[in-house]
Amino acid sequence: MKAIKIFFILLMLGFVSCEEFLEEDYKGGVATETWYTTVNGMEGLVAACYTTSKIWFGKEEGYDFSEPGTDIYDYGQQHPQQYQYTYTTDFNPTNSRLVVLWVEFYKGINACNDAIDVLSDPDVTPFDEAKTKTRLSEVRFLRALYNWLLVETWGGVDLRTEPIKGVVKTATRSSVDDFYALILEDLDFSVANLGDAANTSATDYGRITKHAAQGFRARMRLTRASYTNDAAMYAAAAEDAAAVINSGKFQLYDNYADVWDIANDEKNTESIWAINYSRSANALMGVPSSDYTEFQRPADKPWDEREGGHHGHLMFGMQYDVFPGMTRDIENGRPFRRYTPTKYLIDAFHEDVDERFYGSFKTVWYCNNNLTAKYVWPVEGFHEELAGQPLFVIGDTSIFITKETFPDNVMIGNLATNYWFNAERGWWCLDYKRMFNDDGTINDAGAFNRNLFLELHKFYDNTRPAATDAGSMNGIRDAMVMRISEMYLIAAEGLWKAGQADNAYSNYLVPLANKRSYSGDGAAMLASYGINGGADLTMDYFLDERARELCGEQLRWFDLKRLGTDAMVARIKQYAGNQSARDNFSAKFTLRPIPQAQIDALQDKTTFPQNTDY
Amino acid sequence: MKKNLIHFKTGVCFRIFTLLLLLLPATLFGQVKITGTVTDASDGSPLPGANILIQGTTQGTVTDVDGVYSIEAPADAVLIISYMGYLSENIDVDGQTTINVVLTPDLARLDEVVVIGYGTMKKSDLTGAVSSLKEEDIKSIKASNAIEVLQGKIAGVDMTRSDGRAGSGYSILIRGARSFSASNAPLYIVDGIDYGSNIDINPNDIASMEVLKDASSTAIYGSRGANGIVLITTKKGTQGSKPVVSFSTYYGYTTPLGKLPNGDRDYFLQMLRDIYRTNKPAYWDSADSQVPIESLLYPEELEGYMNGTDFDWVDAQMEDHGSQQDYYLSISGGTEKTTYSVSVNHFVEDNFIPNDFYKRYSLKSNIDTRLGKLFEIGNSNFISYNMLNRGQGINHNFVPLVVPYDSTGNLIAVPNSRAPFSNMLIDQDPKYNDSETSTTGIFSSYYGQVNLLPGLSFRSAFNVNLDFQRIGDYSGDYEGLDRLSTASLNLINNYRWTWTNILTYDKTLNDHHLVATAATETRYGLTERYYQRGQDLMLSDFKWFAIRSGDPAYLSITEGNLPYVKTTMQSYIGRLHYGYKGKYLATITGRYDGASQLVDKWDFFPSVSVAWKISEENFMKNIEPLSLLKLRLGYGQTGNSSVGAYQSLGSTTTYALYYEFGIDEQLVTGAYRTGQLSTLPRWESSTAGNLGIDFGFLQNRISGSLELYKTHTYDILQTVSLPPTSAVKEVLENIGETKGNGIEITLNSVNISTPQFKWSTNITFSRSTEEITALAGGVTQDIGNGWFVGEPINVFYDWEKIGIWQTDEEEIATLYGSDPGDIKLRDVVYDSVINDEDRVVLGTPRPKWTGGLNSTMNYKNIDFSFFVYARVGQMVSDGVEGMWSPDCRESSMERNYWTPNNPTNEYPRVNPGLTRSGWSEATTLRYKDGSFVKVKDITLGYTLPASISSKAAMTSFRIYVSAKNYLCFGKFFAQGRYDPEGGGGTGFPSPKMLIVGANVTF
Repeated sequence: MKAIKIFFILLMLGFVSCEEFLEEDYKGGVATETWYTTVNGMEGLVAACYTTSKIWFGKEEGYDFSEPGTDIYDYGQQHPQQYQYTYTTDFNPTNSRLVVLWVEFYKGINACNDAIDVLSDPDVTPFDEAKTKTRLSEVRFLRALYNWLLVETWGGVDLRTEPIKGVVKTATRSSVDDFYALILEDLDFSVANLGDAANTSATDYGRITKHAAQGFRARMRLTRASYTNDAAMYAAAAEDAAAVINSGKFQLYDNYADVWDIANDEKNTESIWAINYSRSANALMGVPSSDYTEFQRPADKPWDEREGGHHGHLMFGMQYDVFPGMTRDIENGRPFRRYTPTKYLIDAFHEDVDERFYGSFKTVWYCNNNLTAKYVWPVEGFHEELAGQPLFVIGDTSIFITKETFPDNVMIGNLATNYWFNAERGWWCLDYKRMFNDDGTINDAGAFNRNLFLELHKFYDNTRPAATDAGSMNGIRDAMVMRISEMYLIAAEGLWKAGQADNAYSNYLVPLANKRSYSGDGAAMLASYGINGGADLTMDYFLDERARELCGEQLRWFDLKRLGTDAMVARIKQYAGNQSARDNFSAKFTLRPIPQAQIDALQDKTTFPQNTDY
Repeated sequence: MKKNLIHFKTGVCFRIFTLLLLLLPATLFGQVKITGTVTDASDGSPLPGANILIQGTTQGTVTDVDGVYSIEAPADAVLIISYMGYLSENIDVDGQTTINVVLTPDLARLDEVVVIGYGTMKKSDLTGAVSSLKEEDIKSIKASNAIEVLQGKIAGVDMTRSDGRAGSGYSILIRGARSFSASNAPLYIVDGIDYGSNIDINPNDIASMEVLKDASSTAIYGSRGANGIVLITTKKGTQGSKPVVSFSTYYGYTTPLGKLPNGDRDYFLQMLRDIYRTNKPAYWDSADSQVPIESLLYPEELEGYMNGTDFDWVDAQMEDHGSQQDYYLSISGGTEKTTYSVSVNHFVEDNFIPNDFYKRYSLKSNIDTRLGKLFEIGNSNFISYNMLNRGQGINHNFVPLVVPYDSTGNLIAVPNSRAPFSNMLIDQDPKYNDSETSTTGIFSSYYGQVNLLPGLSFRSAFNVNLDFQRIGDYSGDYEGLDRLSTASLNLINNYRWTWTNILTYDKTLNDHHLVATAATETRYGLTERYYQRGQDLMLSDFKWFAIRSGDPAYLSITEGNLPYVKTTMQSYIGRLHYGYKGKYLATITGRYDGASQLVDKWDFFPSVSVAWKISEENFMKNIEPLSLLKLRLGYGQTGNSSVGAYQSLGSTTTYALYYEFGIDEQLVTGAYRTGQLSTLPRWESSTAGNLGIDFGFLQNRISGSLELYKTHTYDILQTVSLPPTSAVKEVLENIGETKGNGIEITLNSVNISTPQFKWSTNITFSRSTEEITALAGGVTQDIGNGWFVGEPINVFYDWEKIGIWQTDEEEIATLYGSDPGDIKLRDVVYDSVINDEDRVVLGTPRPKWTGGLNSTMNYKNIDFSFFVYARVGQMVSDGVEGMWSPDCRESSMERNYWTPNNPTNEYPRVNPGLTRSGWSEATTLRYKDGSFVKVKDITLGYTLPASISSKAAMTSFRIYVSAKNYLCFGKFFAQGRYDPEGGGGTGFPSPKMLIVGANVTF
């Protein structure tokens, strides 16, 4: 009896909880801290650090804040947020596209910081020493890349150097100098610790190499040198650029158009580093749209079906498919008509000597659809001899967009509403005179306003499976972040600023021009642009040359920014493609507005003021 | 009717007590021998074991099994006849030798034992707010679901049936809502164990239901107590009883409660004429537009117009009637040592909406036995299978000129090109659209008890609760409809076990009564989910059984966000109850809960309550009409266990981020941090105080209670957005606060009590208010979630319609961008613009008060009862108005719309330029007063006299008819709408039901 009592009392009291019973057992997901210290976890984290780049390179948001609104590009008819380029008060902190970038960059930087945190600790890194160094160099490069995009877009915002492991409701503003100090420090580490191998391997193409790090450091040093007018820094930039050129791993194409031939995708000899896009259904999902719903107005969600792949082929397209005799097909692409070139950009090319005009722009479309009976000769008395025959048949030139100007009497405006027809030559035609207004702004008159223009053809992708459906919006073209030609230009500019103008001219500008001119005589081509030697070099020349070489490659905003605020404002006021931008652009707009979602969520709003005047 | 002794422990105490009485030596002096029987006033049945005591002495006796007693007493003595659950009678012997006594049931039920969680207590000893329903109350309602019987019967419980779907559940709030992000549903405990939220128990199996309402009562459930507790105790066999076989069944005939004002052909044609001339002022000079009606019709409508078609689409989507059937068989009994009870049940609810039905099969058994003097063991099992088939609700978008069938009798895919909706009759056919949820549940408990010393016992119980749910959904293709067949299958398996150990010590020493309870409880819960979806099935008949047959491109298998969720909890529970002279009572409870979801695992929930039975005081004794007055005061803290599993772990992306490396484009699955390690959150907590008064008059012929309470809920979980610079979107924090208060009144009265005629009435009334007092970020409104400081938790927030712009107001209307005939909205900011800032809180779906009135009459063998339920002051969103399409493309529901000749303020004009989707102010038509009074039940029953039923070997036989949910009063219903109880929806009208049923006992 007594024994039984004691037994039960002990049973009752003895059932003390072991804390183990209350531990969480997370099988359906992974807890961050433990996952990162495994090989798969860390490789996944590093991959995620790369993924952030897919939000900018070859993507609409990335183009939005790097090309249009400058001296070389303006908005196209189908751009849903044209106020970003007319610089009115509508361009404000609620901008839904900036918030996507802001959120993704900070996520990416935090992922980099997480990776750096683990890889820097020899006790927890899952890799051996060599691989630890390589991966650490990669993520430090990526952190530098994202910090550069942050600081140049928004100025001295929150500089995060440690992973966030708890709830943080505060943010502080750091100086632009602090940003560049960290960017250069990260790149120094990467350049010092990455191997010298080429980036063409079956398994590692797409990863950061020493050349990519050094090339990017060249770009950063040049940027920093421009801000501070620091001759030594200019020289250092040139030194980095020269080292990349001299590595012998990269070659300029003889024909500029080959740079953009999709057949050269992934084996492009000019590419120093490219974002690797593929047709894999999974890889297309860069970042799911659901991530943005919180910050975006539902009516304006540009990421529905376009999360992955290269989208440059959509953005710069011209509305060819509405012309009689034309229909949309894979070869000609799907024209989103987001961006249209400015007069300044078109004028910069001497297309008779420079391969880069026709290598960059598409000027001719060939008839791919039967015309209705309405479109027969003669037209306004032209070509009576062809009476009754169709204006053109499949395969004939259908549309021609040109820097030429044709006499008014041959340009017929009433054949099909709003499309000019060159009755003498028998094409639909937009000529130079009708392309721009007298003041140099883009001619918006008529219903074709900003639908028709010279199409930047650098990103075309005729490997897409269908002309129109949603899945086919994702191009497989790798987005080149740096090309070897940029190194020639950095070396040249750096040397010129460091007092070695002749060296710049002879060893960098002429060799580049040799490859870019039809004749192979680079000196002659340079002469046509007014450069006969180092003494003729000016900043305007470099800006012209960079426009010719790099237009559409997401660098223009940054090139203007490093001129300094006043010069940038002056240049946009002079060359912008719309009058409103010329009237309104001011120092305020050299920094983008910080998203309201950021400001609203801060506990202490005083520590993180909005950029001036927004 | 024999009173069931629900709790053997009390039964034992009671027996011992009577035994003691029997052993007392009789002092015989001037005695007469009195004999007689004691019977129940309600049905004349004998009451075995009733006490007969000679007043002023300790002498007495008890009745035998036939209710017969004999006693010797002084000729001038007074006999006190008492029986638990009945009002005592004092009878002067006055020389009589035969005294037959009829006892009336005591509605105050002070001697009754109520279940209070980890133990029981006499009702008279209660110090907190606990309401109880006993077997008689429960079985008088013909309910598909055990929970339903609480509606209107317990003050402070606000319940509404969600809609008229078969098997549709009830939303239930005890003392209002308090959390705005977590569930406000109570915790259901069946025979001491957490049952989950799907209460599929047949009311016939239930012995009692208790509702613990105030924090001092619910604190014993700690972190899960804030929303109140519903305790369900199932039936057990009776000791020493022959096998009792009961069979009960009913059939219910259901039809919709209410009918919508479907417009007929003439109404539709008139509407088309009016819409034609909407923007043509000159046309309104005549009563009719002169345009030929043919020119306004779409081809299908024109055909119908020519044929004289006037088709009622709403009728076509409903069957003539639905039905409910219930079959219940039980056998119970016991020996001195062992009791048993076994029951089987089959219930079917077949809605009048096609392919909408619910079926349940269940099996229940209880067996308890004593092993010697020391030990008791027992087992109970409840096994159920239920299947819920979800039909497609009524679509009101079709016009009376078109028909669903073509000339060959086939369903037309799209009957009308004016509004090209797919034909609803296709989706009502299970061949083309089907949805089935089946659940198999096993709830099995084992316990052992050892009675260590008198009053000291230890009980250990282990329960396994498994349920397996399979949800299949299917939508087939149909010629002419642009859709592929789609099927999905969702499997959800729950595995739970609970181990409870309870040590109880019950000691009475002179005037002191002490009950101490200590318990531990260990809970484990695991949920696994699996989801598969496919399209373009090889054969439609496969439905969700062969999803793999579909097009591989569409096949998807997802595990959901959390395919595997495990939670564990460990608790230590203590309660001390102390009573002095049965007058001064106090209870202290405490529960220490440790939960796996939390970073700081442990939390403590205390409570204290006291009661004073004033009527027991000497100074109150001579206040004759007052038989009971008791004051209760309690205060406690409880939690709402709303934190999900794994929320405090820093988590990486559960979707993959891919990046491809190498010329070979090798995919690396990337992942980064999406959740932050958080030291938070904690449980949401409530502190609440309760003041209760129990009263009884005229020997408790009239009794009742009044409760007043105040609740403060804090640490409410809210998702807080983080600045994007923190890399993580949001975090869960304990931020919000609400407060609530209310009053509850319960009144029971035995109006008439004679052996022939008995009439009793119960009334409940409750009123509660709630308001948000703090929100995340210190803001006063969170429009996205519809939360406003100072307002109830759920509100309707929109513009307010103040009328229709009339012709003579054209000038002002233009200012607002409107025309005469358009809706006039209140310009709250008064700036001549109607925008988001002009929206206001219009009302809440929570009622101002609810009340129930239940009345039962017995005359000889006939019984009659009715139950009235009122819910007043709530706002509903009228689904009918949600279908109002001003361009007449959808729904020809009859409405008094504005025309220049009919300047009403009720509905705006018909307008060809306005589609429903493009008309934001349309929602303002929807908000209506949803107050109602319903006669929920009227029952008329007849019990065969025992003399006749016994000839057929029956103990009792009763047949009855009832009308359930039959009458409804209220503005909303009177307007030609369905039952407002469900909130104004139109797809599934609530049923009303006519019932025929029988109960037989052998």
